[in-house]
Amino acid sequence: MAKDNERREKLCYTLPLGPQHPMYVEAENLMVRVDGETITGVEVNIGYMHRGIEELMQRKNYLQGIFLAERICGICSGIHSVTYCEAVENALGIEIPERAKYIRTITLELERLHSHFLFLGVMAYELGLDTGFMYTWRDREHVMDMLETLSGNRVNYGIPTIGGVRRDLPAGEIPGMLKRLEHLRKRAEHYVILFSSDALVRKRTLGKGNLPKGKANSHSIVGPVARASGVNTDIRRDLPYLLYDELEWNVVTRMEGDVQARVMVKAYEIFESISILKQCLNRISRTTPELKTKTSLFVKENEGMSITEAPRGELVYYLVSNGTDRPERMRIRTPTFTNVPSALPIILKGEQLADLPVIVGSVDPCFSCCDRVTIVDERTGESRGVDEAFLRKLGEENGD
Amino acid sequence: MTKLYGEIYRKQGRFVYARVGRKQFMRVMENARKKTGGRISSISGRDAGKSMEILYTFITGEHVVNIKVEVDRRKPVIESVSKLFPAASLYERETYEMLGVLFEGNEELENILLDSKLSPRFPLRKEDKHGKG
Repeated sequence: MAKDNERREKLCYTLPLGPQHPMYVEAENLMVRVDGETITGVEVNIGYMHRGIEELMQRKNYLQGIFLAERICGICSGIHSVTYCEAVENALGIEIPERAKYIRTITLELERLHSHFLFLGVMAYELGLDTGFMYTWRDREHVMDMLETLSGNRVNYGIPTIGGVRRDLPAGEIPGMLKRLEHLRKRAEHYVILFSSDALVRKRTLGKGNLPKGKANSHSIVGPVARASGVNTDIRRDLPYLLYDELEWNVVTRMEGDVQARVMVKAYEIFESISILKQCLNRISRTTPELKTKTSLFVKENEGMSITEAPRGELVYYLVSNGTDRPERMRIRTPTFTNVPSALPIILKGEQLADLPVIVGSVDPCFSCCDRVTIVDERTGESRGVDEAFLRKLGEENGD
Repeated sequence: MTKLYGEIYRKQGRFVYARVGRKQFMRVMENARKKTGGRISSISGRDAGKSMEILYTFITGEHVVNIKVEVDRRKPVIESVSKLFPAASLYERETYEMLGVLFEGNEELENILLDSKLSPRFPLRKEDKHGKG
């Protein structure tokens, strides 16, 4: 009895999750302070994926920079390259042809679709629904096939260039794409039902990881995470670019701010993306065949800016040009940089450790692997590392 | 708009660029926040040779206002806006580690992306470049 009580005596741990951890995709570090099973605080340490891209862009010409921008993120490669091109076109003061706008819009919305299906799959996986993960990623393959038809590649499409796009969409592909989109719309209805009505999913997502609207506003949270907390913001509507002000679509918001709300926002955005894509595919035949505005790649001394809505939120590119074919300065502000360090400490505090993967996954970041445990006695400040012998002893004591 | 954001020197569609003096900077930021309810979207630093340029991208409902402040390169210090805009703390930390600009009043001012021991100090300063590619 006395021993049981001893075991139950709570110690405050700091668990380092990252930079290597199986539950994550990329390398980040969360220092999670726990009291028993309850999370009392989180410190987010980023930078493990830092590759010096802003510096590297100053050493590449504007054409090379497009392909560098694409490779910042594997899921959002299209939006990075389009936003980069738009910043340069803004500095050049040129407009791209209408057909190029359609092709860029189609590429970006296909990318949003694949990213959102990927997110639903990751959420299903974190909830333990491996079959849900398989189904969503199987449906995502339709989107990848369409992207491959359009660009020749599943990731890093190489579609935009300065002044327009590099490849055309063959008219013969459009009926097949419309059929696939209709299939995806029906599958998305199924996932809305799964994530909103399944008892296990509701138990683990309703009321978890709450982000109040006031905090989302004060911390400038962007994208679907902000919209799930009632912040009515979408760059496609607020500061329209490409064709978004000419098409009919809706901004999806929820008020609850929990994991369920973040999942539902992305699930319903799938329908909006499909609607945008259908409108574009039905109208593109009315455009002239011109794909590109001819332009010099030597950009006069100027500033250019472009702000777009990536699948994870607002993406900002700011360019300072100096008359050469290379940027003087290229500043890139990604949505995850804004969301993750600010939102995670708020939404994880007070939650159970077992809910951490689901809550972190709902913010849709990129994370990776793990370290060993450091035990910190928060009462005395004393810390010690944990080695294999200690863990083996713990297991033997607990009869594992 | 001039009264609110300082001297506007360029307008490109929905993007507005304004220049503000070092002394008027905090007043401009406080007024902009109070009167428009906008938010800081990004802080960009640049080594402009004789000075450091810091650009605050401020999004209101209708416009993107880029407020540019120049600080002395030998003593790059400016007041932090992290009390007005909590999200700005992240961008100030990045500008500090890349360019060495000190943001007075930011209690979390330390490296955010780079390792403080292994990485080069202030890598986006021109003097740290090892020759262009």
